[in-house]
Amino acid sequence: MRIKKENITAILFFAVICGMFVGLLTYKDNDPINDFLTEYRTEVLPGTPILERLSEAIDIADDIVYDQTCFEEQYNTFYGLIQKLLGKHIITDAGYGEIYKTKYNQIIFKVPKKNFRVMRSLDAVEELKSKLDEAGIPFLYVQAPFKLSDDEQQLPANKTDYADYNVNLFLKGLDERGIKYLDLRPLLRDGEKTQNQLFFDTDHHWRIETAFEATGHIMDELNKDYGFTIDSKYKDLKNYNVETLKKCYLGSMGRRTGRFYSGLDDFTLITPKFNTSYTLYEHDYGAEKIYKGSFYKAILDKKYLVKKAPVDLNRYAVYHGDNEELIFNNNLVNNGKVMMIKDSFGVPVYSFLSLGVHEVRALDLRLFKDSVAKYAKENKPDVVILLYNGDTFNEEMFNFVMEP
Amino acid sequence: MDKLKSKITIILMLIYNLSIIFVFKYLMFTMENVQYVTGLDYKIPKIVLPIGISFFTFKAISYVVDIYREKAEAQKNPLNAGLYITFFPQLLAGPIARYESFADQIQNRKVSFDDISAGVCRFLIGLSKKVLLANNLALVADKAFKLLGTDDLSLAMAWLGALCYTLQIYYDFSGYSDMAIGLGKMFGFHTEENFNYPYISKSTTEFWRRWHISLGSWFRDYVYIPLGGNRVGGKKRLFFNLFVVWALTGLWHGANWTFICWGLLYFVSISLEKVTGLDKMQSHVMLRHIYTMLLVMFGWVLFRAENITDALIYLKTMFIPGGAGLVDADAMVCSKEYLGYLFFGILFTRPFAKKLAKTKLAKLKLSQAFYVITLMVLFLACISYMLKSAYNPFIYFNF
Repeated sequence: MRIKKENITAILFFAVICGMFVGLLTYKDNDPINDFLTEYRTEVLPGTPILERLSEAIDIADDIVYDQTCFEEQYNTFYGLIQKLLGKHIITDAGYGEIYKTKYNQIIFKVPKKNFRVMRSLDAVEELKSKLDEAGIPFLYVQAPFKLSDDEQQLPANKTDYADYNVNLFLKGLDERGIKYLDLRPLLRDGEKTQNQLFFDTDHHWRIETAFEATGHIMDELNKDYGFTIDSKYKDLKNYNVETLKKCYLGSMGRRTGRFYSGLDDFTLITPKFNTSYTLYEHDYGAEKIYKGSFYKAILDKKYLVKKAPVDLNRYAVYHGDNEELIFNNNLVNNGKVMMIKDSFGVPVYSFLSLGVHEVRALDLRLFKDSVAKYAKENKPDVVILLYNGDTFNEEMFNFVMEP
Repeated sequence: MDKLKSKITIILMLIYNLSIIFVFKYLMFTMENVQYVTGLDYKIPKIVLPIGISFFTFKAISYVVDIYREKAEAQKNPLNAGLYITFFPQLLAGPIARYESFADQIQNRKVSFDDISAGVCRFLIGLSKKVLLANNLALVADKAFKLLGTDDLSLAMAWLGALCYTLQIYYDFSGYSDMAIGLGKMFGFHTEENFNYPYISKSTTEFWRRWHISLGSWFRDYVYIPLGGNRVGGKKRLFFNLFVVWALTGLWHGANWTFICWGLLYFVSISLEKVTGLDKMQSHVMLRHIYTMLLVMFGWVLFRAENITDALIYLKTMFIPGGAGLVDADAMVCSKEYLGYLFFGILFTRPFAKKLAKTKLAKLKLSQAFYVITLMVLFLACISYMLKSAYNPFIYFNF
């Protein structure tokens, strides 16, 4: 029998289908059957009609197949390559709706107008502030910048980002309510670097250098208005080792579009040259881990330091991050207690800040579900800092769970 | 069974099947219109449309009528009859397989590796049409129609949206048909073609010979010919027959005046072509093609709009610029961003691949390798698109 082109295509087609099926069952941490059963038992309540059960089961199976598709990274990369070949600056994305390539060839999503959420967030902050006032604990809101500014149109012409708009509305509200804030946007933008240089090309997060500079501004503010005496050496880059790994990092946006589309970022690691001694407590879901030693030993997560690690490894998390509660005890500094409620922009900041004070407690409200005011009253920090970027006006991040 | 009994059976079957489709698809529409005309105040029930109801009922009617006409033998195994009616590849978007062409295959179909292979290739072509072209062009079309009534729809964006919807609906529906034909072939079922490059047509009559062929032939065989078809005494009767067929064609697509008007648009243009002989004229081929495509595009605007008023506003914006002017940023960005999809979208409405396949070049080993590689790249691209983009509109669910 003569093999035709259609026969070869069919063989390859079934090979891909079978390969994906086998991959789904065996790839890395995939456990689709168990996940399906767990999800089904959680989502489908007893007594649900049979047709609804079937429909739910199909939806759950569909989601699991999507989530656990093997070679997802390769498919993303291929997808990004096609978009690049088509010259696209707007990419449809299941997670973000759309991802954009800016005029600086950076990858980013845009923030919509959030008037209502901003107002709700202001109310929540005002309530938190009054609770802290009752306990005599000062409060400072720190506004981190978003990657896009309203100074210039970086997105395709018919797309508008409202991060700065929302932030301006929020800060105006804080002014009206007499709540102090530190707006990092003009301070960072006034530097030598342009707006886009402050951020990774392939991620929405600020670069480690930017976070370091931001920490210096926060230290200044704490010294100026909150009675801290943080030594200026902690904000001087000369006192740090600065090591840049070239083209080794694909940020969270880049991971969604692939390296061919987004390019790769350099990643800079900043570590102190001076002596350090820490005890770091990490709390998640009731469990505690303790790390002891120097800044390098106790704080840095070594798996992100492997030079030849895959580019999609989230190196940004090297400074210890995304935990419910972190307590940095700096054994070589005697005074200064900071409590910080933060989003992901706080990840490098609290680590750098902890160099200049005795204690930093960092909470992430996506995981911490207790009362923030109660926590502050129990631990009596010298200041409570709320550090969020311009995209963080959402219910979860401003749910401070106040006690009656 | 004598003739009378057969006729009664046919009538009962028609009442039964048409009642089902009427209740699920047209009852709310009828009640709304009666309420509008009479001013009566009553509660209109919300009835969920079962997916594929029109295809179900049309196939059921085809089964009984074909048995009645003795074009096929009655199916003694109810499972086989059920297989014909609910044959899943064709259930959602056709083609509408008629029983006479399906009956023999139920009993005597053979599954061969060549058929499976041809089915896979056809399926991949359909999948690519749907995922790579239709879904992406839909983003522009949806944006344009979303801007309708906001004063932000520019003339250029209106044309771009209409063009993208014209391409979207073709690649969406013909893509589904290809997938259905391909899947059918993998199981040994050979189904009729449903689309034959409709956008190269030079008249609306030709367009409907090339577009949704199975629907057109269903109406021809089960409505138009029983009414007398072309072989009727006078023009009045001919136009009446055409009117019935096109009103029903419109109504079949959905319970909305937009669909009915869309169907009647074709009644008017096809009737005019019959009167003037325009569809058979050999001169002015390009002009005829342009006129056909413009009419088809305007028809799709009517088809896509929520109601007649929206359709008229949209069509007006295509000629008289409103607040957003002639060209705006949306039009500029969309045309630039979707240039690739538009290019391939327009290119593949032409049968150049079919022509290429008939040349000597296609027999070269290199060409055969190119064919395999192209289809596999398209397949992997489809998977990557499906993983990345949540946008997968199913525009034919109404039918």
